[in-house]
Amino acid sequence: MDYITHILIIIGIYVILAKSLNLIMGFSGLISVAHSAFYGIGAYVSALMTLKYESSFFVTLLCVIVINSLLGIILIIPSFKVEKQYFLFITFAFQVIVFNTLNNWIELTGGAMGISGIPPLVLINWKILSRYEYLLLIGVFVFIICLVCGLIVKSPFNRVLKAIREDEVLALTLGKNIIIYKMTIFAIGSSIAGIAGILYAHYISFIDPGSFTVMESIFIISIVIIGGAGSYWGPVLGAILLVLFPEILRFIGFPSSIAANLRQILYGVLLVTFIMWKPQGLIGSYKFFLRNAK
Amino acid sequence: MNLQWLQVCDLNKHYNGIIALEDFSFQLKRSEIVGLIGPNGAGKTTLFNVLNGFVPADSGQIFFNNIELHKKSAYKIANLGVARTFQDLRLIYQISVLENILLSFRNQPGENLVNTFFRSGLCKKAEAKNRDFACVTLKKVNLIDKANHLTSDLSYGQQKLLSLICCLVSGAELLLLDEPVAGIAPEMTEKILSIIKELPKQNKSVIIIEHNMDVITQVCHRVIFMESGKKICEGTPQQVHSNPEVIESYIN
Ligand SMILES: Nc1ncnc2c1ncn2[C@@H]1O[C@H](COP(=O)(O)OP(=O)(O)OP(=O)(O)O)[C@@H](O)[C@H]1O
Ligand SMILES: [Mg+2]
Repeated sequence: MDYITHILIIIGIYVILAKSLNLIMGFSGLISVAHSAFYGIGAYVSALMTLKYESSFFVTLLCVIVINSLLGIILIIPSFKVEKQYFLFITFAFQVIVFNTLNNWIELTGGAMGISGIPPLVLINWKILSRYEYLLLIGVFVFIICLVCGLIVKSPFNRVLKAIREDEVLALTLGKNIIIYKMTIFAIGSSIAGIAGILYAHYISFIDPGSFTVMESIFIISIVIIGGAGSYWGPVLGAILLVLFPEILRFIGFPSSIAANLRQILYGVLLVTFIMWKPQGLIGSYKFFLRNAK
Repeated sequence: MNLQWLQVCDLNKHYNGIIALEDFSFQLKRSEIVGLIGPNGAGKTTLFNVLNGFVPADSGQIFFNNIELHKKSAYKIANLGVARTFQDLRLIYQISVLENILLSFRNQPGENLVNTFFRSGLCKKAEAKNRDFACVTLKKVNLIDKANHLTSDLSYGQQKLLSLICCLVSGAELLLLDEPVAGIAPEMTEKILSIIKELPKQNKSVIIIEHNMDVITQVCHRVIFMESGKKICEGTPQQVHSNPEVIESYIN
């Protein structure tokens, strides 16, 4: 049972990550490979604040939201100068900077050794120790985040984002201040990724930079694309499938050393297959990578 | 200086030596329809791009409702009440017809996420009102059965009609229409022209770019003929029609 609980917790964390990346990618059309950087910042900030200052959960939560929102807004600024495709490189640079900071600022982050002994989360008086309690907590967060995303999806705000992802010129002509929209969605998406980081750090109790690499970002992108970018349930379905996938490989008897390599290859093949032949993903409707067809 | 409702003074715009606008001035009153004609490359679309803030003019001034538009960003100009359509037709094709119209309303409370989360009543009310208005408008132009279709499924003529409707619901007082009836079937042309003719009654003004002289004569109060970025002549459709330079240009 412990194993299943663990898998469910991991699925929950990836649902949060995919949902938040979907806000950025599916709604605004900007591809970002910096998502695991925001995930990592959330994890490190929370781990360090709890270890060094014994901050309460709500204080760390607030700090992570503020830091990630600000960084998200800073990251989006160059997108007003460059074409969409090149924005990808800027997010890549950001990802590399964050990773190298985590890896090399040894006094603060412990470098490649990471941070261990991260204490469990305490919500007011509720000390979250068992896996079941963690599952419950993550379930609550998934629920709240789905609710928030649901509100955004149905709002006129999202309608403007849809317009922006398809035709920025027209959005401007209609009087929409696209800078504000992009900044808002990037701030929200990055903050939610940070929340996933907090939950992850305290659950695993050990973090190192290896969990927050560009590969991790691409894994989250795969979840979103394969599930269906821009759709409500797509990222949820994608997270379930892609987290379960290696477990199934193991289950049907692949030795874990082969399964790990096979996994990488299969994710890559799946991602390319979807981009080419099913750009709307399993249950989406927005053809993410397709050129605009009139 | 006594400013007209729309006053354009001495606009200049060059693209690497190509003259797109040269000392271009004109005025527009409320509830007036002005036709803008001229050969290909005359600078007509460039004038629209300058008016709605896409392209900064090299020099010159634009006053709209006593507000200087020059150097203002496009979305701000749109929010002052200037709407436009595009020669190459622009819509959001991957959303529904109704959503395209809803997108065009200005100052929607729900477009601000703070309102979405904390003042949902206000947002819902505004959205419902806009939706009703959009549906009434769609009924008027016989597009209501397409309301929930993807915009890319509409015919070209219907798409042109839709882009005009979007300008209308925005509540803009100045409409810049770039060839609104080029390349579409006669019935649809009639429909679109009849809508344009009604606009002065709603206190709206229009500048319309059009190559077809019949269309111009039908809807315009006044016509401006331009060539190589310069205004050559201006007057009633009949006056411009009989101007020797215009005749020469149209024969060539
Ligand atoms: N972005 C641009 N870069 C360079 N040159 C441009 C640009 N836009 C317009 N021009 C040039 O400016 C001149 C005026 O172009 P404009 O599109 O305004 O003409 P037009 O009157 O709308 O013509 P048409 O009837 O063909 O639509 C043309 O010579 C064109 O090549
Ligand atoms: Mg033109």
